[in-house]
Amino acid sequence: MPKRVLGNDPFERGAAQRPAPPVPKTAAPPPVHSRAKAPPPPKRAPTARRPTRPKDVPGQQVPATATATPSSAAAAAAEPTVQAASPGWVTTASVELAGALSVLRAAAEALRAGLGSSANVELDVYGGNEKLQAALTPLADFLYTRWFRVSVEGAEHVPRGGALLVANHAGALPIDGPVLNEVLRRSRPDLPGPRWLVEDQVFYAPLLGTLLNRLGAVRASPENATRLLAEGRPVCVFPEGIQGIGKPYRERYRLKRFGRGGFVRLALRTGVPILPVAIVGGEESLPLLAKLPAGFLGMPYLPVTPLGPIPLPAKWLVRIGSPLALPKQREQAGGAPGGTAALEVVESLVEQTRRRIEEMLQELLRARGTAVFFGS
Amino acid sequence: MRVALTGPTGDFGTLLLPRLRDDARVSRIVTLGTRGTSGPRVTHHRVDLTRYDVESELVDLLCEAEVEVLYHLAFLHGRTRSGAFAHEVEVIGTLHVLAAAARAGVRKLVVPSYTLVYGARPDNPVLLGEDAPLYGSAASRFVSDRVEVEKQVAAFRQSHPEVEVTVFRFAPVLGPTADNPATRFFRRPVAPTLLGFDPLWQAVHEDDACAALLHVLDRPSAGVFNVVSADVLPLSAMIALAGTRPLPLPAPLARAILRGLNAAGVTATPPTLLDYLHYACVADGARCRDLLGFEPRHSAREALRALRT
Repeated sequence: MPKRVLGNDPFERGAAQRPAPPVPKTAAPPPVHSRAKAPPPPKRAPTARRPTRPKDVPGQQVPATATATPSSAAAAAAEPTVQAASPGWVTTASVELAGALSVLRAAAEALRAGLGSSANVELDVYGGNEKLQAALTPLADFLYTRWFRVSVEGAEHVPRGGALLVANHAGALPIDGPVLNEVLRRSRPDLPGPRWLVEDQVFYAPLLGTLLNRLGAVRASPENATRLLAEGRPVCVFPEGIQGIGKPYRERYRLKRFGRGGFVRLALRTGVPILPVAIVGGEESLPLLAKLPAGFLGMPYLPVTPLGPIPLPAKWLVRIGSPLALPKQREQAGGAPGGTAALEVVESLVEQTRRRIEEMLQELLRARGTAVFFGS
Repeated sequence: MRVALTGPTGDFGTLLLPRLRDDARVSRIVTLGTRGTSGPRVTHHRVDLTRYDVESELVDLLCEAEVEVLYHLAFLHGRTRSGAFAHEVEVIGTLHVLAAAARAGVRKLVVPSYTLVYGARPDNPVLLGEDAPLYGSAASRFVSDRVEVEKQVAAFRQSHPEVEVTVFRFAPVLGPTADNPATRFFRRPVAPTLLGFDPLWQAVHEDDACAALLHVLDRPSAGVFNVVSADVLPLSAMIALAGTRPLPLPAPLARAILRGLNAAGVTATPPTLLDYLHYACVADGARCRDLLGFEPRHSAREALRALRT
C-alpha cells in the first residue's frame, strides 16, 4: 500500500488565516456605496478586496466586470473611470443581491421541508420532491460551483441501465450523498435521475432525514436498491454507513469497515456494475469536532462542527473509477442459482472495492496538496 | 346474484349497502348484524357475532338465502373502551363467519383490511408488497385485531381452496361519509405531528374502496390485494389538504404526553400508534391493477379534499 497521505490540515497549519469567502449578500453591497460616494484610498482598495472579490461574482456575466473593476480601480482612481464603472457595479451588486436572496429563500424552503411543514404534494414514491429540488437550484448552484468548486473526473464511466456507485463517506453531516448526486445530475444528464442510499440512523434523524429524503435520498435496503436499479438509475451507496461520518477529524479519509458487503450481493444479484468513487472535501467541509449526546432527539449523537450545519468552503474532488470486474455467472460467484453468492467471493469483492477507493483517495489528496480552501 | 353482508351498519357496511342496492347484478341482499337495515331486496336478520352458537345460525341463514358472495364487514370502526368486546366481535366473530361460510358453501368471501396491518416501521421498503409480513402495531387494538383477522383468513384460504377468498388491504379510507381512525385524525381541529418527521402516506377515496369491493362481485379475485391511491403524499400535505392545522411536537415529548394522558384516563391511544406519524407504511397497488384490473379513480388529494365536504 502506498504511503498514506492524510488530508492536509488547514486548521493546524494556520492555512486557515485566509478568511472563508463570505456569502455574497454581505460582501457585495457595501463596497458599492462606499465607492460611489467617496472613493477609498486607491492603495487599500485592491488589497482589501482581492481575497473576496473573485469568489463573489456571479458565474456568467462576471468575467467582464470582475476583471475590469479591480484592475481599473487600482490603476487609476480617476473620477470618470469610477463613474463609468458604477452602473456596472450596481448591476453586479443587484444581481449578487438577487442571487443571495434566492439562495436564502431556497435554504428556508429546505428547512421547512425538513421540519415537515412544507405541505408540498409533488412527491415520488421514494419521497423525493422534484419541485423542492428545482426551488433549491440557486442554493445547489452556489454550493456546487462557488462554495465547494466541485471538480469531477471519470463521470463517463457510469453506464446506462443502472450502476452501483460505491463511495467513501466523510464529514460530520452526510452531504456527500447530495454532492455526488449533483455530480451525476450535472455531468450525466443523459441518465435517469440518480439516487443515493442512506442508513437508518440518518434517514430517521429528525429534520435531516426528512430533508435528505425530499432531496432524493432513499433508505438503504436491498428492496429499495433493487427497485431503483430496475428503473435504470445510478445508485450511490456509502457502505461505511454511520461509521464513516462518525469518525473524528484526525481520522479523515481513513476508510471504516464496509458494512457486511450488501452492495456486492446486490450487484451480483441484479447484474449491475460496481463503480468505486473517491470523494475528497467532505472531511474539511464539515469536520467532526465533538459528539454531543442527543438521545432526547432520537439521534445517536449530535455532531459539533465549526459552523453548525454550514459547511466550510473546502474544495471538493470527485473521482469515479472504472467498473470492477465482477464474476459473470452466478455459478462463478460460487452461489447456488437464485441464491446468494458465496461469502468469500463477496468478501474479496468488498476488499477490491475498498482498495480501489483507498488508492483513488490517496491520489486525489496528493493532487490537492495544501490547497484545501484555495483554488477554483 | 345473492349477496350477504355482516356488519351492515359498520364503516364499510354503511358505505357498501346503498351501492349494493343500486347494483343491477345483485338480486338479493341479506344483512346480518345487531342493528337493522332496510330497503328493496334487502332482508335483515338480527345476528350477534359474539354469541357462542352463532355459527349454526349463520349457516342456516346463508343456506336458506342461497348466498353466493359474502362480504364480511363486521368490524368496529369507532372508539371503544372495551377491547375485550372488540376482540369478541372482530377476531372470534371472524372465526364463526369463516366456519359458517365454509359449511354453507358460499362461493366467494370478501374481507376488507387496511394497509396499516403492515405496520409503520423503520425498515419498511419504499413500497410494501402483499407478501410483506404483517407486523401491525402491537399495542393498538384497532390494528392488531385486523392482523389477527388476516391471519385467520389466510389460514382459511389454505384449508378451504374451494371458497374464493379476497382480502383488500385499503390505504386509509377517506371521504364525506367514511368514519374511521384516519378520518377522525384529519377532522380534528389540530392534527399532532412529530417535529422533523414527515412520513409518506396514501389514502383511498371511499367511492374507490366500495368500487373495489363491488368490482370483484362477478370476477375471479382470489388473493390479497393492496388498494391504494396512485399518488403518495407526505403527512404534512395530507393535513393541509384536509383543512386542519398541524401541531408539531418533538417525538419523545409526544410519546410522554400520550402516556400521561393515557395514565390519567383522558385518552386510550397507545403511544405505538405514533409510529404511523413517524415511519412510512406505503403499499404497492400494482397487483390489484395488474391482476384484478382495478385502479382507484380518485387520487389521495381528492380523497382528502372530499373530507371537507
